[in-house]
Amino acid sequence: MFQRFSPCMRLVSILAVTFIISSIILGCGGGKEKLILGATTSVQDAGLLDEIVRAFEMHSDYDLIPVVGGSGQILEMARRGEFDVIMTHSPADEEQFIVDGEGLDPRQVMENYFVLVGPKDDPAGVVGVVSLAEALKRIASAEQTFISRGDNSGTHERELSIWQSLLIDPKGQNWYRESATGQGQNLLIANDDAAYTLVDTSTFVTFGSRVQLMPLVTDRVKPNAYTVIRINREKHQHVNVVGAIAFVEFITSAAGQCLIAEFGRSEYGKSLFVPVLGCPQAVGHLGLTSRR
Amino acid sequence: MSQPILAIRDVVVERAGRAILEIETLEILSGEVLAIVGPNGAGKSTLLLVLALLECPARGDVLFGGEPARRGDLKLRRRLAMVFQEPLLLDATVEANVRSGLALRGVHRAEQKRRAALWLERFAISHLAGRSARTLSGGEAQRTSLSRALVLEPDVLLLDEPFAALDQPTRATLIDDLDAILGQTGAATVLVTHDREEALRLGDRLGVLMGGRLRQIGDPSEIFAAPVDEDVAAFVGVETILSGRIRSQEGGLAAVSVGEHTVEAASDEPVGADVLVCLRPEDIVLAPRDEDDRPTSARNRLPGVVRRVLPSGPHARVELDAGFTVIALVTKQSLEELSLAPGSAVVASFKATAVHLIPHRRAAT
Amino acid sequence: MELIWEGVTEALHLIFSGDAYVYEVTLTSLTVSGSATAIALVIGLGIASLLAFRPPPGRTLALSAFNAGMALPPVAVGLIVAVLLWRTGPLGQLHLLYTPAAIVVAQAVIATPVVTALSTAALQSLPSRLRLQIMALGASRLQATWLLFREARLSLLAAAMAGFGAAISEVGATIMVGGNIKGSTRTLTSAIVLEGQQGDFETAMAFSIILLALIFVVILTFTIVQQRRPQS
Repeated sequence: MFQRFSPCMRLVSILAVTFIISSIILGCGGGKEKLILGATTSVQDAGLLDEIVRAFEMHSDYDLIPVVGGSGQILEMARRGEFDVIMTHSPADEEQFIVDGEGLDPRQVMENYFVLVGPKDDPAGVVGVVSLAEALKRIASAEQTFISRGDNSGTHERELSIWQSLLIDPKGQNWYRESATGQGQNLLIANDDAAYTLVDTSTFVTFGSRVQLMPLVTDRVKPNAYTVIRINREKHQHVNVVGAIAFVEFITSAAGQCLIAEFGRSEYGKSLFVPVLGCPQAVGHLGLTSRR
Repeated sequence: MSQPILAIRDVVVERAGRAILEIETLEILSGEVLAIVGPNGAGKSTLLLVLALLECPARGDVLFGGEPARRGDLKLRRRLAMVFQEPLLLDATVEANVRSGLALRGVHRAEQKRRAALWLERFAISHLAGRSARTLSGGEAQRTSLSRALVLEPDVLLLDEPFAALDQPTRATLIDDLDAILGQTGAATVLVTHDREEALRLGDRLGVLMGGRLRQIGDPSEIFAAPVDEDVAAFVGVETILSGRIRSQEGGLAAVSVGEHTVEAASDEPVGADVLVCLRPEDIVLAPRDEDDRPTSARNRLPGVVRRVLPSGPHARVELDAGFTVIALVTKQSLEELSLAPGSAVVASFKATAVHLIPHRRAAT
Repeated sequence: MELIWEGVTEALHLIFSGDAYVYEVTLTSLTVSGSATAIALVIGLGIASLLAFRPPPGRTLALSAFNAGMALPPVAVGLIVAVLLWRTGPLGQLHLLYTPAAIVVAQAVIATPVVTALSTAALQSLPSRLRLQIMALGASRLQATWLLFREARLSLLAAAMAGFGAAISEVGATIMVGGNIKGSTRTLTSAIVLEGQQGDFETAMAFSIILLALIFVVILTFTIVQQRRPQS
């Protein structure tokens, strides 16, 4: 019967069938309750976010929808009530967020460290320096190229707070460039320019062989902490409170924490993120035992 | 009296606030071919579109079998078919094109094919059935377009200058063929053309459309002999047109019996053919009746009586009664010298070569 | 250069090993862009036939709008659609954000002006009295429209291909309204972006090659249909 159709009719019928089938496919998958998580890009770039989503959906009846952006963007959208729960790593902004009554019940769930990386020949003479502040000071006075995230992310925030403490304003100086990209891209740009930049340890490990930059100063004193915050229902009525609580409980439970601990172990030989509450079976996280 | 199959009543068509067509009454009689002539922009195409129920008049009705037709009524539209100056064929084979109208009406495919084959045969294009419409010559394409319309067996066939874009030899053959076919099918036809010859050849009645109004309608001979006003006269060209039949034919010289008289014409038309005899007024020489009968090269001499004299610039039109109306054009000087006045007895002579014959299947009176 | 070659081999490996992830994002791309193109065709052809055959006053203005729409920046469309579909936005109650349906909407918005502008031009280039002739053979308005579409099929199919191309190659709006979620709204294009961000360039290249191959196959099919000469 299909043969009787002219070629045009056949195309039309294929289109129609495609449309109908896709509507069915797209329409399905409903039924599960939705929970919207706003997460920072570094979690996705490392690949951990997909794992968390998969594990949580297996553990619960929720359809976890991860939305990714820089910490600044996530917090801004959270203020509009677009999320049920968020995971960010920007302490000052997060504090303001809580003070403004937007978020409740903040829990630190994992952390990694900031590391200053730079070219092998180290023109600013940063090697051997102990603190990030001292390193940035040397870079500034040597006027060596520094690539900043420039996107209001947690990393950017940390970087800016250091400049502030040094009373140096690098903006506009010709050695200071803002890439406005995520962790990985930023690192690649710095690599291309043989420049200095601030990056977190997870990203640096993941990108490992692709970049020729050396880790110069790791700040183990003030880790890069990732915090999960529930959005306040009183401010935004659409918030799925029960779901948010379920997520927080999962990510802070042994199951969630061990998931974090395991992540990256087989590929890189160590955890990319340190679970703050610890995983009972895990050992040897980035050279330190888990904190409690 | 034939029943008018299609009629117009008090129709006005407006465009940009102006009336471009105003017709009080027009009837298409079943079985007739009505030729509509007129200058460009006269509204001929618009008239056809109104008849086809494709153009909605601002006022007035189109009557189908006496009943007013509803706007764009599909059932009534399907009893009509129209052919345009451009063939406007679909991008498909000739056969598919001819079947297209039937397909629109939901006719069974087998029946479509059967009827199409018949009409392809009649228009002598069966050998083109499988060809793509894009590869046809002008004449072949127009034959396809005509087949496509006639296969629908319409109650009224509307033709909008169908031969205008064709070259002369192609036109001549196609007109011959269409003439024969129209004779066989007996479908009522409205033919719009700016070519008088076509109008005379194919039309039973002639209508003159000028400036959106129907100035004159009726027998072609009457219109050419007696145009109703100057505009019509200027457009159609005054002429004597008579109906006759070929009585004998001798090597290019035909004897045509017209009424009681015989007219000799230089023509190849066969014996027994019905023809229209056309004479231009300037070809007719008038002489007083009682001059002696010396032979001249004019083979035709018709005695007659002057009925009317109408001045026309430096000339005058003289209307004669020779048993039928003959119109001659003479100079004012001749008028005076011959003392031509109503009642004068004259002989109208003209050469056989000045007689123009147009075959017309229904010319028989 | 080796990266491209590595990408090709990786692509072949992914396809033939039946990697579920690859098939999943490919299927998502196809269904989402296919649906968006279908919607764009329905709306676009409808508007085109209106503008071409029963031109309303102000037709030129409307046509200019669609022509300009061909140059709509997809990422701007994405932002506008996202803002409309936000939970707190005017259409938030539809709960469409971060679902494949939202991507279909955004891609349809992007593809429709393309289809409309090109289809209108296609229909307007038909002989001006063809529609009259078809009606004069006894076609209803619907039959006439269908026949005219068939007459213009060469150009209309090109318009469809252009619309599909616009939809399937789109990434900015896709990520903004879809969220790039594994298993539901991750398309080939957004997967390429993600793999790139994660530094996994071989996979990103492989996906790019798969996407190119997919587009080629679809367009090839359309072109074959388009170029067929009429039979009986």
